[in-house]
Amino acid sequence: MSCSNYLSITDILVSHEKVPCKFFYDLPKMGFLDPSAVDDDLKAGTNTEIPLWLAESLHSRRPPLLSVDLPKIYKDAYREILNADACTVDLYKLGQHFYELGCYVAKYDIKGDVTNTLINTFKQRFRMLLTASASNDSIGSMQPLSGSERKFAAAAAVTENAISMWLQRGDCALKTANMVANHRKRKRAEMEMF
Amino acid sequence: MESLSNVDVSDEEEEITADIVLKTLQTAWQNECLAPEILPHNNDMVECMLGQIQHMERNINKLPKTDIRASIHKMELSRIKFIICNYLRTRLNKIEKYCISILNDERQRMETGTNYLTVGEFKYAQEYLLNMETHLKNVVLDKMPGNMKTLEMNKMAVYPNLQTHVFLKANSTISGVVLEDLVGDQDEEIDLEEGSQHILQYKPIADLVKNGKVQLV
Amino acid sequence: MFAEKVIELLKESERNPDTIDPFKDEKIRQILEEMQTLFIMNMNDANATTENKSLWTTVQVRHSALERNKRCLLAYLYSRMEKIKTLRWEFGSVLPPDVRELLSDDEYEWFSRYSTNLASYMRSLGQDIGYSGIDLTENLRPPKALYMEVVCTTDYGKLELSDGDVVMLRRNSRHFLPAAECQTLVRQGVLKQIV
Repeated sequence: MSCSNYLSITDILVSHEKVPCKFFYDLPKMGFLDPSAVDDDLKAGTNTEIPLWLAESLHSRRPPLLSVDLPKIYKDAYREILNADACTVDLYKLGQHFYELGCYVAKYDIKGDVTNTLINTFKQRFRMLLTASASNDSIGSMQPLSGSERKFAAAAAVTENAISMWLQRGDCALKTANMVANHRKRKRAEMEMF
Repeated sequence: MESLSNVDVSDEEEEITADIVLKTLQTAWQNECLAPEILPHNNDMVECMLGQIQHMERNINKLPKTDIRASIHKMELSRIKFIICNYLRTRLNKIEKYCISILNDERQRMETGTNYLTVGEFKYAQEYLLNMETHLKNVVLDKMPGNMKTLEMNKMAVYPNLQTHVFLKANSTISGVVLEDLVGDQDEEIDLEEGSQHILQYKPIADLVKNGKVQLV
Repeated sequence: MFAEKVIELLKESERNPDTIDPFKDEKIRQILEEMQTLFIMNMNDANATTENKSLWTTVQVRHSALERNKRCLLAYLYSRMEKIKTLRWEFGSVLPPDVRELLSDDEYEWFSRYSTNLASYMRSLGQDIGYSGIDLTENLRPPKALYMEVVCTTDYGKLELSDGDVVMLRRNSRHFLPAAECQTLVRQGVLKQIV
């Protein structure tokens, strides 16, 4: 992506999601990063979940301080479900930022399966998204959509509405006729005013 | 635009120009709305149109208030005004959003005299960025500990997404448009026939939009 | 965990994307304090790294947390600036007191500067050809008709039209006015269009 997300609140919330990590070094006084730890210090080899932003930043150090693992919704078991029939999954429950977080963690998956699953999921769910945006029962059909899918659907619905409004208007009267009518109305209004 | 010619029957030549000016403006407006990045300005056209508006307004005022022609011309004027306002507003929005990157690019462009912004827009952009900087510094940055105080412009900069796809129409036949293959290295070359319409990535055709060989639709 | 407070702050402001909440000075102050504490801890530990090498990693973790807090605070201010810009376009250069109250003093200062900058840009439009500038906050919608029927929602007072006529806008009074001259009032909610 060429556009920067530094000030994007959505991106900040995405990077607030937790990912499983394995620490390579001792971290004195950082025991609180692992809720199950009793020590003040975090020992090398500890597995725990920390927010993505911290994981990314520590992973990018030379040498990297930790390795990042895939969150469970991007692992084999879930990938199978998603590849089989993505439309049955409630993505909102699974992870509000399913696609966005997926794009971040995909790079920790060398085989590229996550990337394929993301694309596949989107392709499968696209029709569902269309239905949701055209549907009147907005609450029911929006429910299983992820955060960004909801935004898409809402935006699509707005556009849809605008088009039908525009079509109806173009339908009702010709421009000049409209203006003449207005002109008459205006005269009447003027007479009322004085 | 037939009615433009009704305003000023005496000067045939000017009407044709006014018509072209309006068409150019409409294209510029359409392109500006649909392109992800800011395009070279069309200040001459805007000013020319503003002059035309002034001229027409004077003529309308000569007509009696209830004259139907006055209403029609007024309607037309407000449509032109809408186009100009919307065009300039679209540019302002982009200038605000991509402020840092636009200013950086613009400074380089100014050296070669190929600036995209008008003098007014450039001034506006600089002032806008300065105000933002002052505000962020006053409210939080100055109160942060030592090494956190600086405003990192390169991090803050927002760039337009040039990889977005656009609908376009070729105004003339263009051969050899190179479409980069982002993943592999199999670039593709295509020809655009005059009058044909396409959906393409914006980046490879950006220059064609700027020199008027294609227009966005 | 680090940077939790600032996330709360962002989530709160995301909840109402179409309105602006009061500026949270107290929260901001707490976050800045958290940053100072982290910074001091880091200074101490950085000095102690000669004896205990493994402290370096800890310093790096805190540094990341500081960067994170900074980013979130800037994003918070930036998203508010975006909203304040909208206020300028929708309410005009004078804010109603209840909206004004939601901004901090610094934000109000920013609003005024933004407003001044915008105004001087708009005034400069067409200056070379003797045009007196255009108000870009007008003409927001493609014009459909020259006149529109409106009902007044408050006791606004007199409105003088460009042709010299004066209209008295009283609460619940109905008028038929030139669209160009009343659209700003409609946007400001003084008038409501009847369709």
